[in-house]
Amino acid sequence: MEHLIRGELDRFRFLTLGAAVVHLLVLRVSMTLTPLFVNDAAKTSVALMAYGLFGAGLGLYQMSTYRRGHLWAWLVHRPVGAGRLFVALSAAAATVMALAVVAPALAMTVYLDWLTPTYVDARHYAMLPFLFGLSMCFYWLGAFVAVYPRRGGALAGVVVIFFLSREAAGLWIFASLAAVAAWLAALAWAAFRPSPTSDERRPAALLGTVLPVAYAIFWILMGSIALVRSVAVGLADSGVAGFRDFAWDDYWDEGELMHLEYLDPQGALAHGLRLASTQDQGGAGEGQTAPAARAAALLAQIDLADVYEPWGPRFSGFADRHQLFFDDRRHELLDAEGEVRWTFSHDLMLFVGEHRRTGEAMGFLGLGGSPTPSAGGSERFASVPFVVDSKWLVFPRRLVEVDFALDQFDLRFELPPGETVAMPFNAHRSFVALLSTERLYLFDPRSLELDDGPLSPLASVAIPGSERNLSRFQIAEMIDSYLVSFVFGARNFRDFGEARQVVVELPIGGGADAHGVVSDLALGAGFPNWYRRRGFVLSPLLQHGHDLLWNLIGPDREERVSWADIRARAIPGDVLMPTAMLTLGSLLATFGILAWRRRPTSDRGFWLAVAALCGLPGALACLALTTRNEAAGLESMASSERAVDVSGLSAGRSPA
Amino acid sequence: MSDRDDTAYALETRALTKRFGPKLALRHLNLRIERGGVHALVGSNGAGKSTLFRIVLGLLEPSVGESWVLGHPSRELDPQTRGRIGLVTEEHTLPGWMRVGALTTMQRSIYPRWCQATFDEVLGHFRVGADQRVKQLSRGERAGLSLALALAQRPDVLILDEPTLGLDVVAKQAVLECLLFAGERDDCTLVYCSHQMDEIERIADHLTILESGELVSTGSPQDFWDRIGCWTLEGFPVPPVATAVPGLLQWRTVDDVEQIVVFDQGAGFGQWLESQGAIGARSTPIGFDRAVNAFLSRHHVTPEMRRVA
Amino acid sequence: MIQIATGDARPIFQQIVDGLRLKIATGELGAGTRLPSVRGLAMQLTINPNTVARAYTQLAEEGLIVSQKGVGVFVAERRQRLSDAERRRRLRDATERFVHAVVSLGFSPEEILDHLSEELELLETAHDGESHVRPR
Repeated sequence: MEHLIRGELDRFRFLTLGAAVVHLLVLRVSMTLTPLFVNDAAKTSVALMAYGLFGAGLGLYQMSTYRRGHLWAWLVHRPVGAGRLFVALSAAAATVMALAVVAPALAMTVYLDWLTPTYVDARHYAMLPFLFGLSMCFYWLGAFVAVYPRRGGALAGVVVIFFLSREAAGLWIFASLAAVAAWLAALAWAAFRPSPTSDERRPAALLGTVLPVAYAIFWILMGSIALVRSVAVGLADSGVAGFRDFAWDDYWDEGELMHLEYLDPQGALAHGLRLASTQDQGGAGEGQTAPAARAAALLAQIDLADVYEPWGPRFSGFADRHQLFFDDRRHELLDAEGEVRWTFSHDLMLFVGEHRRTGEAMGFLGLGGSPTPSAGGSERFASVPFVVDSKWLVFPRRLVEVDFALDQFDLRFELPPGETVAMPFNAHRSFVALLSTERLYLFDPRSLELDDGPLSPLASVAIPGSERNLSRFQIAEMIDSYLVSFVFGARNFRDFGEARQVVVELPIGGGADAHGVVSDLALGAGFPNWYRRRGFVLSPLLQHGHDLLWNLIGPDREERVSWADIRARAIPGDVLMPTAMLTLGSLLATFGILAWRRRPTSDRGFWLAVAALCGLPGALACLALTTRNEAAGLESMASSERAVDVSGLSAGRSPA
Repeated sequence: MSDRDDTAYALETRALTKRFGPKLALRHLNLRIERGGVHALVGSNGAGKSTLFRIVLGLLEPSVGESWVLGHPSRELDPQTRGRIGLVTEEHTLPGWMRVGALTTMQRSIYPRWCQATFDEVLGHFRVGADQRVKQLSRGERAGLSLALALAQRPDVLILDEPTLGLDVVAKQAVLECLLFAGERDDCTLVYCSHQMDEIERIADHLTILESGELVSTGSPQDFWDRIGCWTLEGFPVPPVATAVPGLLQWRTVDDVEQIVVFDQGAGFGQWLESQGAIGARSTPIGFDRAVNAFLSRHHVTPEMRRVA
Repeated sequence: MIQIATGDARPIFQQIVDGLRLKIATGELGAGTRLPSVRGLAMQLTINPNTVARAYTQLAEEGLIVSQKGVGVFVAERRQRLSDAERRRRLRDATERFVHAVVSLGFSPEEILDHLSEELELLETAHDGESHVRPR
């Protein structure tokens, strides 16, 4: 089939050449703005979208021109199997991608590697096959959409592509890329048949389309339910006519998580104190308990207090070695004068310096903190640091201060084993906060500024709950203590974590665990159970399948739900009932759709199984992917065949 | 060369029905096209010829029924069988971006029975250069190229969907000549679909008429022609209603002469006309094209049309 | 050599038969003249060779041409082929057809007769020329 490939390349020669030149120019121009390898999320998403659009555009254009008119007959009606034709078309597209996408990027990478002092890691070269795979994924998506006869099928491809948006750890991203590419290629390959409009009968090919379509519908339903509910809430809250005052914090009651989410730091802290003081007064018969009294006393002071809410990046996953450079800003360090850019090399595990104006190589920077002319002279880092404020190197267990004046890195704090940094130093004028996965540490800002050595905390407190479930926390400096309010519930929106507010008081200069719990409130979820678990109600299989699959390929984040999480959670009756009802309803609806479309009985088993497993999304996928059975009613027509006019003419012989 | 054992039929359909939404493109079509000769397929627009070809080649799924090409079921045509079936599509669609030379090389490498002599002979009728891109060719040149490509495959069946549509006289002549005489036509069955009655009169051995997706007539063109009679008369004392005229195809009044075209009536129609008191009735000869056209337009006969001059 | 027209009331094979018959009758094609092969004539006229074969078959049945295997098709020697009664019957049929065709054209019988005799005279001169003009 090399002739077909050659023909396609001849066809796309201008496109390929033009795209390659434009690509090269864009890369060159973008380099004058930011270094090629230093990306942030915005730059990455724009770039990846451009590669994706190019790939999808090529697939759509190439296939839809063949699908149009009689060219399809010309293409598939020949002594070559459809599979081989598809492979040839894909091979031509792969060549286009190699020339238009990979070659310019490779040229720039090689140029930077060999002709400039920029240090190029293996991971920078690894980006090239990733880009190639990404554009091929999109190419197959476009090809599939062009060939697949029903519009609903497009959802399948789009949703599979979404798995690429998750950045897997290190080079594992190639595993998810390969899986997505294989899935999309299989979808397009299965759709590429001499008669693409005929019903797919191979169960594997059918399932490969139906499942992602159901999955896409699942997410559309999830979004729609949230939207409908928020509009309904708005209407109920402010009346149909008065939409103007609609605001979430008006709607949520005090004592509900959502109410707390919208309060300012001072309000949030006061909320905990106020509820604790009133609750105990009403509840206990023998007068006010000690914490309640304390809460009331603190509440009286809170208006005067200095309440602070640390804000900044929460680290849930540290960079793996050889991570692709989708978000490399945190690997960059500027020296005190801002003249030398130190970029972390994953190959060397050292910072590599480059003069920002002259582009001159400035040597290497290792653990020791002083630049060396050769990589061998520096002590290598053990893990990839995050750079914060160009001043801090954050490691999972250590915080290191960069001191360019003395050419040294100072270890300022080390966490005990088993803890990792969740939020690095966050300075306020009267204290500095550090959140680990287990504890909150408060430091004296003066010793942070003036000393070089390791810091010892003024106070610390164990987080009274799971750090991943921590939604926000506030710190107030009172007369003789710190007051910390922890608001839990980051995982409560899907009912995987409790919603709670805990206020603790830390005496200044007290021991490590000298603290008192002032307030410990269970918060209302603010949403009914069925709503928080609407994914489960819609389809337990899709929801949990999503959780497990998504976690498999993604970094550790707070929304991560493991199999243990799922198993540990009971299913309340008000979730189970709607789930059962909806599944039953979906089965009935599917049955109705099949009867209405007059699908043959042989189809029933498959679609009913889909509806049983995927619930409402399965039923809607059935609606989207089946068509009215053409054969229905035609057999009876054949038997009551209308009289052909000719026989009528012949019969009507004139009377002789 | 070809497997003679596979079947006596080049094309066969059984109860073939295709529905597009509420519309039936083919109705319970039972068609058998024997091997050898030129089979003309005639029908007004929308008679379902293109749908039939697409189904027969397995490019479209029928709603009901089965079809076979050279004895192989259309739904699962293997590549080898596809190589034995030539297709010249309406408009002679070829990928416009390809160069003639590259296109030829590609087809030559694919088709096992490729005959370069036939290709050169056919293309010789049309001035087509190998360097030209297909989209730069004129309609006639493109027709020649697609015909040359199809004939050089030396197919056992060659399906042609209106191959001369929109061609000038010279190109049309060349196409017909190539179809009839290029290569070894003897073991090739031509299935020829056209609206051009003069072409069909010239080249067809068999005539099949489709109408609204139904088979209405099949046989030799001469037999069909013989079944159509044309009578002229000066008038009736009391004109009969059109529906009472047996086998009426067409009834026109031209210059005060009534002209009635009827189907399958033989000489007996004259007696019927006499029994109606027709004045000056006599049988007149009718050309093939007029005969077929009268047959195809027979549904338009209404009593109102009589009064239209 | 001969012309055919599609859209004519006569089938193509009939036009070939009529055309050749006339040429043989007028002597334009003398006995022993070699006719084009089936394929050759079909190619000249761009028609299906089967049609030519059918016309040749009919002419051969009428005894106007003979086909010699592997050599070609030739105009046969002229001979009386029909009985007098048959000839008269055919003349009557032809006249009847002619009269039917011209009756409504509005010519007077004299005009029709004049025209007919002119045509027949032309035929006669062509016939006379047979011995002088060598057939092609």
